[in-house]
Amino acid sequence: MGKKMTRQGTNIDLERLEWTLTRFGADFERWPDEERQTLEPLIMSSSDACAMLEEARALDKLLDMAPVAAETAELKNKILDAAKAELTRSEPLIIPFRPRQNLGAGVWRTSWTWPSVAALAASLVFGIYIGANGLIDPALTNGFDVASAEESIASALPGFSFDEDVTLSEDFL
Amino acid sequence: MERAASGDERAFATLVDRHLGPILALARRMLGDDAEAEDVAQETLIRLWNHASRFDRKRARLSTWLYRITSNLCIDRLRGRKVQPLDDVPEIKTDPEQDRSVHERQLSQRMDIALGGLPERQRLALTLFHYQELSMKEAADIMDISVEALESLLARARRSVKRELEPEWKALLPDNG
Repeated sequence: MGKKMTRQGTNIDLERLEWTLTRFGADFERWPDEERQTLEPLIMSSSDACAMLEEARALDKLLDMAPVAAETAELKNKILDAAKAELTRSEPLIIPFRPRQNLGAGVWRTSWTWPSVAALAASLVFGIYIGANGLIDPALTNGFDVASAEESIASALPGFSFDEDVTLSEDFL
Repeated sequence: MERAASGDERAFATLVDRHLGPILALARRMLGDDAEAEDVAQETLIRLWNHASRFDRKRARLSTWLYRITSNLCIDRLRGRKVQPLDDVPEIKTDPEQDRSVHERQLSQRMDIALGGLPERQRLALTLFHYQELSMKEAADIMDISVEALESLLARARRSVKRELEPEWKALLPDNG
């Protein structure tokens, strides 16, 4: 392929040049070997080819004006610190078990204040007093069969028996 | 690499020295934002640190593996973004050490916007081949596509950028206008 090319041959080569420039840009070093060997002579001999190359160079130049990221020591240190933190994080995670009695003690301390304890004691004394003195209205217990209730409870709980003093049998305990 | 896989921090520091720059550059080109690019670079290298033992050098080069992780993280972020009006494009941070003219800064910002307007895969193809100067084969491997598909993406990317800049071609490049 010399300087005197047929018009048809030139057009085909120019199309090939355009195909190459559009994909690989204007830097010959980035072209596939075959394209470089075929198209370099064309560029040397054709003003159209030269114009296409210049346009591709201009685009390359503009692309190269895009901002460049600056690598900093600060970023590197941040990454190394994060890697160290990952090492620590990957160690088995041990969650300290909170003893049950501590939890209970906490609840006792926070919930059982002296007014609530006093109210509970007062209600207990009052209950014993009205029970011992027969002050409960008989209407409240009408129709309530205490004996059958005792039987039901005793059959459900084999170790449980009702004595006169309503105590729990030793087996149950 | 084997030492880093066994938890050797100095070996990891050497890998960071070697790979941080290219990874950061790729992320910056893809995301158009310094802070996000730094986040992606950090995430990529921490993944390397955590999963170094999984890397199989028979299957890929380390740089290819890292570029692939970076590319995927960038694409995930791009897909998670809302469409950003051009007015909201962040200002380009300039290095005070560099004495760059106003024209160059404006040009730099203009190119950032032009690249940001490309579909993500075209942008990735252009970034890997033009900016990172990887071979066609390596760029195609990273994107998990054929060389022919990469060529097509590159051609569409360059045509799109050229078409985008055409109205202001002379103003942008007075020496070549």
